[in-house]
Amino acid sequence: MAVTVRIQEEDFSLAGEWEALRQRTGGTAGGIVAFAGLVRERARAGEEVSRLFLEHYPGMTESSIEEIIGRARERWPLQDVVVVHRVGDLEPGDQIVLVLAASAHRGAAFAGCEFIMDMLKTTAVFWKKEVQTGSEGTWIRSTGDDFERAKHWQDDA
Amino acid sequence: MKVRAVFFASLREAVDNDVLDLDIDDGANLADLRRCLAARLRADQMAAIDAADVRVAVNRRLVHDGDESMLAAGDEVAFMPPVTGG
Repeated sequence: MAVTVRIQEEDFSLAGEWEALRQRTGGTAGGIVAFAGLVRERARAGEEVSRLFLEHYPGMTESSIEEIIGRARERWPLQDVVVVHRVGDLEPGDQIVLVLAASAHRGAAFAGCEFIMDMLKTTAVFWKKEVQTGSEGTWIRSTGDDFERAKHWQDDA
Repeated sequence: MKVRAVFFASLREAVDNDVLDLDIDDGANLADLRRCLAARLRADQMAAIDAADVRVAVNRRLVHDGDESMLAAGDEVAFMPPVTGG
């Protein structure tokens, strides 16, 4: 079982991460599920285009993601998991997060990837600020939908 | 003993600092650290730090004993507002 967690300012290549994982599994995986999150334009009509600023706590952020992956591994037989999360200044349309999950069978890979992503939204140690041109910006909180999605995994347990 | 308080996101902005180095009594706990911070910060800054949804980590591990949590020399005490990733 390989686990890769990286926090970085620079962009990532889904194709590159995918190929590296595929090589690592050496024919034992039946499938890889990938999720790439993008910065969504949030500004309403008439407002300036917004950008995001992401902050993290080096060391603790990585631990929080490793803990999420550990919980996923307790539930599904995942062979290889990759999480790459960007920090710093991001624009709408930028890639912000990548989750790859490989397993012998697709059910575990789909569920594991979705679980990790839902937990990243609510428990990973990041802070996001939405900034409009000329404003100080607003720190974003997880939404009710984020918590509902995280909670349904507990209900399933 | 010397300990370090660190602040993130909205708390970093409220406190106007990402790091405050503090000198507190040996054997102090988290409540003592809060008292030390209160002596240096404004009431509105302390209200932000003491908010119910702020979590505290000592040396990058969340505390589970609340304000009773014991501190040691060199500890890094992080005050973290609600997180959101992804």
